[in-house]
Amino acid sequence: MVCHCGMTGTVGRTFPARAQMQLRNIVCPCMPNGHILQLEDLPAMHPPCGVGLRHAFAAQAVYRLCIDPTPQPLGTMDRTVEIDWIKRPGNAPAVQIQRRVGWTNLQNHLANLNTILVHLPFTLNAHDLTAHAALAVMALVIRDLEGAVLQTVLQIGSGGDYLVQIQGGARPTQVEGSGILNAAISGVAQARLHQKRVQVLTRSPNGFVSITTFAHPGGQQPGPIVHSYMHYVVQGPSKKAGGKRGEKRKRNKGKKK
Amino acid sequence: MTTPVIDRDGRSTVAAAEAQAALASGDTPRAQEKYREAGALLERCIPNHRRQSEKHLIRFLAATQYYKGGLYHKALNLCEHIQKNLLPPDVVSLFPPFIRDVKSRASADYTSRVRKELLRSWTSQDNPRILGLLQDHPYVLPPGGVAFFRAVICENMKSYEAAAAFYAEALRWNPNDPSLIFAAVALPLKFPSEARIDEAWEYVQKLLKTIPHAATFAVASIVCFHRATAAADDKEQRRLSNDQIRYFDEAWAAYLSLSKDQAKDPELYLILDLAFETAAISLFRLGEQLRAKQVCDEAIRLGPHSPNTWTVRGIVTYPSDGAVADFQNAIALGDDTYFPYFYLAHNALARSDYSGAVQFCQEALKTRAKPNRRIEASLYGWLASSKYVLGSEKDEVETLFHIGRQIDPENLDLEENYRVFREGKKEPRVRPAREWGQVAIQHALDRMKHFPVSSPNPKVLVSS
Repeated sequence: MVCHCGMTGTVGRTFPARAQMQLRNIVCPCMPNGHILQLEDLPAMHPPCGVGLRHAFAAQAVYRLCIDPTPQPLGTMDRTVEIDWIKRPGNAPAVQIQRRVGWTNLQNHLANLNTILVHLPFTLNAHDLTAHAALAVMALVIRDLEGAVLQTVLQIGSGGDYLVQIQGGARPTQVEGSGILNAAISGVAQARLHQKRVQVLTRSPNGFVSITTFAHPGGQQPGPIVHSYMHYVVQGPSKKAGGKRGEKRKRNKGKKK
Repeated sequence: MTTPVIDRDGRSTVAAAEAQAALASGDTPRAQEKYREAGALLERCIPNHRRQSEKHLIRFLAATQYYKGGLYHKALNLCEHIQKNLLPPDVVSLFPPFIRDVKSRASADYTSRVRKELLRSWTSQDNPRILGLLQDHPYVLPPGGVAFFRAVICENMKSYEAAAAFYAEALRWNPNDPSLIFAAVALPLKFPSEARIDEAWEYVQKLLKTIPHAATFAVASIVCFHRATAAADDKEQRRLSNDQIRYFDEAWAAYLSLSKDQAKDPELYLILDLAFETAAISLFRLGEQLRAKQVCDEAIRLGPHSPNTWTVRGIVTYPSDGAVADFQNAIALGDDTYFPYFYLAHNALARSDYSGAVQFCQEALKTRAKPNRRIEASLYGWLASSKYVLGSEKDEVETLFHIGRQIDPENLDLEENYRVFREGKKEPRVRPAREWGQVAIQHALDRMKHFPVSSPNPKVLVSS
């Protein structure tokens, strides 16, 4: 039996079927009323750099999830994010899941959160605000789905934004996060996904790409939704063999022999 | 992995994140301090790396932190030790535009250039441009100045919540500058005279949250007075008047807790004086004459040299000997409105002192601020009747009645006195004026209209 979200589990965790969960009083995080990924928990989720993440990006995430571009009713403390997930090792098709991102007790950790929220659209440009918010969402989602812990920020030209350690993984890899404010035009997010995939794979054999769109056409839902891609990307063997680089490698191998 | 890990312990990342958060909340000194820390932490780890390309990359990263913290000279010094050709290939193209920008910002005229640009944008009222400039160059003004600039821009954009937050921020940086509070309340004070009462109310509520000060409470009470005056029915008017009195009481309590220096501020006194007046008149309108008088007594104790407070006490206690004395006092202190003369004219007429009535009517009609239609017509009627009793020519009296009837054809008192005159009787009717309440409200509204409110102007910040 599988959970209604279609997953049997995530890294280090197994979700029993809904009936079993009810019996055992366990709540599946993918259930609409399940647990919420709280922005205030970023330091606990990512011990090496979570404090910095919360400082720098949590308020921006609240702003983009709750105030602009889709204002939520007063008192809203979380928002559902629809996720298109390609999990490791990256060879399975994407699954569609939901997570809820919340900020219930964030004000206990960010002094004057309400004032910061009022200031933000005037102190930060819209592009940076979206980019920061997307990084906060990425940090929550990658920890929850992949059990990955962000280690440190990567410098310019590294391909990704953060170095990330996967539970049980031998070597760290990269994650690149990016945000889109409004994807009214279809294809914007996919184009960005492709661009970031290429960017990550220029300097790393694999990695994660996370693209969060804060106003995405809702499909069956009445208003715009928040949508996020969390894709594990890998330089596929077919690509290695094919294409100019693959051919060059083959030629070089032949020469050496 | 071919990417070197530079900030292994994450300290520089955390410092930069704290700097970023400080910048987002407008705290530029803290942002500067934290970016400086992030840059220094990066610089410190240069010796730990063997490869030249890594050393130069770290210098570049540290310079970036200094740049973000507005430490342009420090960034430039570091950039001068970076060899472009030794930077990693992915990064090398980023360096030339970066150093160009750093050089530009480290130049002697950088601040004045940006300030001039701000001034130009202010003159052309290009609000998005100003916001963009302040985001890109957050260190060209002191933090309080940036907050004030943003507050005014937010007002222009009708983002009153943000404006209130930025005024509070500006005040946090300049706690001893009361002019910031008066700048913050300027618009809600001005809006009612432009028939923008709802907007004034929306704004003042936000200000009460961020700047709970005697001035903001006083302005809230004044705006409530306008809302009550414009109310659709008596019940609503009563409710809003009660709100007004509540805010007025809070203003007074807050005022009493101010230091002597702050309490002495002439601008604060002007605002408080207006709050006193509108509170007294609202209480008068609610039928609470005794409380209205008590409020006026307090106002006179606060500012015994203000003619206005004497006039208001006269209005709420008229008819009485005390009221007459108050009006005379107001005139002696230089009240240049028609109100004290209007009441004294009525009082003279009631005592059959026709020459006194003529004198006061003429004074009232001479004042700078023109009385409203109804009051002006009454004054002409009283003047005409008094002159008729004193033996003036019928033609002159007829002319005065004619002027009054033209101004307000529906003035019943005037019509009655005109009828008495036409009948040849020299016994003008002097009834208590029908609209004493209206007159009182008119007094407050007139005061509002002529209240000295100047819109806040951040030009001084950039031109200094």
